[in-house]
Amino acid sequence: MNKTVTINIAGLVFHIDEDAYNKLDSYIQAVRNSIQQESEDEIIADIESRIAELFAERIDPQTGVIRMNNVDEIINIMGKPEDYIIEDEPVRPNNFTATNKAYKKIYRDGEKRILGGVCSGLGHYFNIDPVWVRILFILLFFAYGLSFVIYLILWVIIPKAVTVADVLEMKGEPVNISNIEKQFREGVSNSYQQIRTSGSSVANVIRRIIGIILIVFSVMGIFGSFFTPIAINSEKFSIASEFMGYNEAQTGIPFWGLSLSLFIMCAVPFIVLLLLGVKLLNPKVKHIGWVSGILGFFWLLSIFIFSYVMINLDIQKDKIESLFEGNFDTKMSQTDLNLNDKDTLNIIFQKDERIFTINDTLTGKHKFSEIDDVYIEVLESNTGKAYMEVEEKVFNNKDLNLKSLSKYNIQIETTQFSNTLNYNYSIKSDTLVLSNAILTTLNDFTEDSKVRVKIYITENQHIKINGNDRDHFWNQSLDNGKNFYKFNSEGRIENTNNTIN
Amino acid sequence: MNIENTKAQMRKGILEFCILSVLKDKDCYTSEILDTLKEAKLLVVEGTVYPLLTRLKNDELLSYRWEESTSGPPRKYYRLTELGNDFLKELTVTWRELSEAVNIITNKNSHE
Repeated sequence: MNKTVTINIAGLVFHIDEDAYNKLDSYIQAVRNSIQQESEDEIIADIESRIAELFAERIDPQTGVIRMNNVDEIINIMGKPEDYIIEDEPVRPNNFTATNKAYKKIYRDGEKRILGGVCSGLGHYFNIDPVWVRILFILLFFAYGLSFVIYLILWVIIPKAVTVADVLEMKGEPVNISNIEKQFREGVSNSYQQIRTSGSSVANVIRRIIGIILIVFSVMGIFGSFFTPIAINSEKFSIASEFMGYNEAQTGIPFWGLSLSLFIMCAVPFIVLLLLGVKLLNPKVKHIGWVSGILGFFWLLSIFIFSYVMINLDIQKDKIESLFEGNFDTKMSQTDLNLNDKDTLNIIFQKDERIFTINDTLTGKHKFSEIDDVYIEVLESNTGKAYMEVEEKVFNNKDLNLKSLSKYNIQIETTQFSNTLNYNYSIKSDTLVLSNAILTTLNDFTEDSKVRVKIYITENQHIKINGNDRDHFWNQSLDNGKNFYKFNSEGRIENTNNTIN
Repeated sequence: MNIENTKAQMRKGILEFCILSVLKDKDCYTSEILDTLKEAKLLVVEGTVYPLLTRLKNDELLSYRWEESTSGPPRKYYRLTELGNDFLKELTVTWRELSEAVNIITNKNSHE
């Protein structure tokens, strides 16, 4: 069975078998290459016109189709591509081999392409494996997407190898009839011909572009996943971290296991995306289904391990906290604020200066609480004067059950703070400077807020706060960006539109 | 040296002269020129002629006109220009001299 194509030569329409057409097309291309002069279009037109004439004489009246033998006959009559060369010097046999000399032209290789065949074409031209060209392009993609732009430009300006003559030129083989026939025997021309008709559909190109985007994206993702174990390994020594003093015996999972499962958790989705991208580029790739299945199993396993460890750590933390319950002394202090009627109290938060002198690691004996451990409240004064109260919870280990604590591998430091307040604040005329954190001992495992500061002002006095410090006033409705507040007639604190009434 | 190549080159050398000669008395379209040349066994393959015709036309030795054909594509009818005519006359003289010279040499050699 043979597919027939319809062609128009010199204004005449013929039906021609596809293989015969391919051969004729290659022949004309080869002739064109042999002529290589200014008026080649005109000459080719004349030749085509003659071919049309010869076809018209030879066409099978029964079928009306031009066959391979017709084309062979025509090529016999017309002569080899070499025969078209006219020499000014009548006898120059050496030059006669001119077309046998190979010369290379750069083409896009449509058959071995991934996107537009640019890389495989460059590979042919420089005689290197296109894989290296592709790797170079992918690497250059990370240089601000440089190769993406270059690729698009090359895609546009480099022609695609369509005919057998193109393919020969691309590979640097001489374009002559014997080579063309060889290519035909190898069936090369058919695959290239099919590319011309079917392979370049828009859907295919989009599919490949999506594939490449997936691959680039997932490679970056996999690369990024390597940082997760590094991150939690460095977290291990950070005092604020969940993993501080991670105890293998407690969970049964070694720390490297935890790191690994975190890595798998992050990387597997990207690996699956990578496989998907590869599959889009090359639909022949097999086994992606079950590979993804296995990866999925490890993914679920790692999620399970990670959740198990995290839940365990939380339970442990709760247990420790319950052991500490009640082991606090509450210290109170009351200070008058030097405010006159209608004065404004300026509240400023400051980093505790001691934070720079105390080492924030396991080796230090003390740590800073988190910022949300400091809790500020503004209340209305009944005494007609402004004052403040500081209430501080101080860890006290006198009633600790040391035996149950040892189960958790917790060493109790004997160091105690003095009975004075650990919370730092200062009052300078109408400005109250509060520390945004408090020093506690390392043994303080509780999550409760450590310091409550109650500020009492009268109904005529204002407070001024910095908009960023709103978070310290937990149960009070302060407005974003509004700085001045006073009590209204209902006893609720209210902003005064950044002005003092 | 390839004998076929030498033969082809010899033919190519006088091909221009012969094309002009075919067109001396009447205008011909391409296939007629080809048929005449093939009949005389001067031409083995047709391919050689097309670049030659175009060159002769570009050198203004030939001109052409299109004519419709009932059996095929429109035909290019070539005719000699004045320049072509002069060129042909000169070539004819040269050819006579040449063929005489070649005859003398080859005959003389065959007698010996």
